[in-house]
Amino acid sequence: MAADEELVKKFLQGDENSFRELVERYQKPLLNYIYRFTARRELAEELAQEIFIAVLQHLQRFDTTASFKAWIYAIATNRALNSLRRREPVMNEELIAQTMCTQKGPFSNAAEEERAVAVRKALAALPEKHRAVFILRFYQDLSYEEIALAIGCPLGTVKSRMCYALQKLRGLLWAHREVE
Amino acid sequence: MDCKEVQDKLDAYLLGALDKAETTQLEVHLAGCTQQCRQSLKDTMRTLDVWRALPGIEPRAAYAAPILASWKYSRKVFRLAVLTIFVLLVALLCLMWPLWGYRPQYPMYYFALLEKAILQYNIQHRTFPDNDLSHLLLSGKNGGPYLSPQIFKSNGKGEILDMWGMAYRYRYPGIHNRFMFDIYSCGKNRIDEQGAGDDITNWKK
Repeated sequence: MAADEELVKKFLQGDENSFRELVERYQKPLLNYIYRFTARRELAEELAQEIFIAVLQHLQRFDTTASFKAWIYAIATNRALNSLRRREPVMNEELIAQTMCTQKGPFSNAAEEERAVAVRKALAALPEKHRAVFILRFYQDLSYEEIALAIGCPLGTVKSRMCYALQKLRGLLWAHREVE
Repeated sequence: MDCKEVQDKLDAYLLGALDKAETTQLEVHLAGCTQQCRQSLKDTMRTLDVWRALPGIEPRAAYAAPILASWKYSRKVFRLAVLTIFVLLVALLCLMWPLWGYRPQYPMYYFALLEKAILQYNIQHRTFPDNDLSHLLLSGKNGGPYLSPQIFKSNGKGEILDMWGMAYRYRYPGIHNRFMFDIYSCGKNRIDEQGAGDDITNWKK
């Protein structure tokens, strides 16, 4: 599989299929990142498309020696943060409950569903900066170096944010952990 | 590092968020610790798996095709806009070109300069030049030159030449312009037709 940066180079040389491949590679991870970050499916779909358009518009300026993954997640994080700041606060328990009611996941039992709701609520309770770090590391599997590039912070800050997020989540999910 | 501290940091350890020193301390502790900390490690791994099991969503449609289509369309519109601006600029330049070339092509330009110089002479001297325009190219006590020698050439007699190399004809007082002066150029055919034919005049023919 060609590296992302290789695909970017090919696209800049006029190969449209390379961009298609990049979109196919990132559409699901990006969508899920924004969805976990904002807890709104419609917003996530809208933002994911906006991000790819932004990527297309600014690809000429992308330094192909840098990490494309970090770059695209940087765009995604900025867009998601701006979007949350522009709108009414969406991360509240009521909305999450509503989201969970309308978007049933593939749960095999009620306990799993309840656990997912609890995790979502706990994620929602995290401050935005900590939430971004946690999701990028935990769900999107970015390295700490990539996260540092994506959110524009020193590595130490990223790690301390991660520790804070884990501590907070642990506290919030204590009850469920006990059940486990 | 004691058991409590280790257990608090197990998730950060599993996610690689601890620094090197802390990681080493924790690993040393785990290697020598009783069952309790190892059990906590297993529990933490299980908890993280549970957190990770949060279901994701699938995109409702493939993004690539509409995004590329919209990008191509906007690029097309942009190119069209640039082309339109370019064409408009070229058209404007074409329209402006005759004005650019006005000075060398139009004898009336020289006429206007000449008339202005005569009027300036009149303001300075309270009279018009008497049938001899050579004063206009010279500097004197009361100012001058009134005409730029770079634009107007003169012959050996001091007569000011038109763009075809013939002397401007000047008459004061004017016959056609009463109380003022008449000037005319012999025109392209270089024949003095007393203001008729292709002669160019400062009066209406």
